[in-house]
Amino acid sequence: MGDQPQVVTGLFQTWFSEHLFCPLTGVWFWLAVLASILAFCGVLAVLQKLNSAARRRLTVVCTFLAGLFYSLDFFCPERWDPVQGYVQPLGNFLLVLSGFSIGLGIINLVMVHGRRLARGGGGAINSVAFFLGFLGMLVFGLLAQPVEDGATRVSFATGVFEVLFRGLLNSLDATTFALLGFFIVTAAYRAFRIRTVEAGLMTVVAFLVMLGQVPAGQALTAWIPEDHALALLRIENIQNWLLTVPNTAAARGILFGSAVGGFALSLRVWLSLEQGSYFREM
Amino acid sequence: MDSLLRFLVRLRQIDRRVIAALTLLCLAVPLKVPLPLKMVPLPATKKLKTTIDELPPGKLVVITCDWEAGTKGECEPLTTTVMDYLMRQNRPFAIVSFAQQGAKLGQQVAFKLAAKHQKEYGRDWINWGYKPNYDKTLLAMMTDLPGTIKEDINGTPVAQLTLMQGVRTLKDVGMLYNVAGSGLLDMYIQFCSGDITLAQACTAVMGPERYPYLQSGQIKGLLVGLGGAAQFEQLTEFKDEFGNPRGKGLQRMGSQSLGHLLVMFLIVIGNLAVWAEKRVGAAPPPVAGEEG
Repeated sequence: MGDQPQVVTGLFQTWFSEHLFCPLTGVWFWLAVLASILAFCGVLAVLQKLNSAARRRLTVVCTFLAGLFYSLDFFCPERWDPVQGYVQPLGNFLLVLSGFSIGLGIINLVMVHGRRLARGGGGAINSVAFFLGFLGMLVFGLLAQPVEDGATRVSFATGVFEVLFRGLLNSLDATTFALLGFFIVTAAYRAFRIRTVEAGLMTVVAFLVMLGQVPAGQALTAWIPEDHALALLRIENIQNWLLTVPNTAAARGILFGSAVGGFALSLRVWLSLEQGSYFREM
Repeated sequence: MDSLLRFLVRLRQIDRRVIAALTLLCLAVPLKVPLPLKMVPLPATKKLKTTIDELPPGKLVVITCDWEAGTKGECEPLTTTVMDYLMRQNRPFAIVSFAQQGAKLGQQVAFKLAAKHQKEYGRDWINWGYKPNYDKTLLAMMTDLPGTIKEDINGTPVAQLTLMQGVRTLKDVGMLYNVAGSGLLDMYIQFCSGDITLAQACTAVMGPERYPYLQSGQIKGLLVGLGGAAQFEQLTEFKDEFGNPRGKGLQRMGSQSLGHLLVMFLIVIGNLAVWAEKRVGAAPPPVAGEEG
């Protein structure tokens, strides 16, 4: 613990770190920012000029390179991994990129609700609620200060944020989820019908697991000593066996199935074999 | 016999408001009138305790509070009981969350326990706060932890905190204990398994999917639902701030016990009513809330 992890330097990484990705200060920093903005605008202008076939080819190449990067990092032995040194910088870059996606989401939400608000009508009140919630959380969240537990005096902004976050968001979330309990009980009574042998078997197993999960159920077989030969019949042991043997086998089967499906889908996306609407529209 | 069958048929028409009231009673009353209940710890719970006990002294434990207020009923006791045990064992821990409300909810739990055990923030525990983009953040934490976290929930640079000395990547921590109200375990296994000791606590509904990972050794301990919290409390002899041997897990087991019994009772009478209906040859009631 404490030693810097040994990372193999990536291809051209030293050159990049010495000539391109090095800290700048003063005028050079602002010139670099300006150059980056100009380069970005230039790339955007070139992308706009491309026809749909060229854009598709560009997307295919970028997708393949991105997939290849992590494949190389995963499959190459550590000593010969040509991209290992880039994993961390790329991770930081992706974090920044994800920040932009949150911004895009906000812009989209504001546009959708702004249009609805401008049109008026029945749903406009929901858009008002969105703007109030969004701006309230944004403004007071930025102004709020950390609160020590048991603090008696907080600033106005912190107080409003605590009311919005703890008083409103937490409570609404908990209330919505709590309604599920009532729904489950009603559904169990009205919809759970034992019409087949399989359904009967499932009901018996469900009852055993439910009983084994609670003390009231465990108490039913608590008279069997834990070290007795018949302890296997204690309800918590039956529950444990059901969960760790038949359930594990079934869950693993499902996991394998979904993993193979996910692998196939990943390959199709990586190699751009997926013929989804994204490619058709371009 | 005929009157019994007709009585059973009538049971199919219990009003949903009656069922809601019964549910409310079964869940609320035991919270005020605690039932004298005991839990038998299962092997998955015992394994978590063994894993914690075998950690080298002073190693940082990371608690990921990936839960929100919706699953607070289960996840709060699951967080509390393990945090309490870590504090009693003088094991430092860090809270982090990939769910928006998780970091603050976890902090509330930690503050109460810190006051109970006289533990100091920054020396005995720390809160890294909420981190968005879980996959990319976790990937970055595996290579540069202070650089990724940067500041704790109070805005203090984590590199300045005593607790973070010598922790450069997530691989330097002793154990990662994930309390989840969502299915993020796959991500931890994908990015961290093999480098870090993983353990999990999850809501009861997610439990069955987690057992394969426990059997394969990819997670070294599993607490499932409120029952898991109650078992861990019993196993570690949890005591509240007044010295009573009842944590929130055990307290709430009364409600869960009655809730489970009510569900089973309603399933049985619902099916008996349908069976009786067939025997009597009565027409089914006019969609008596069949929609649930």
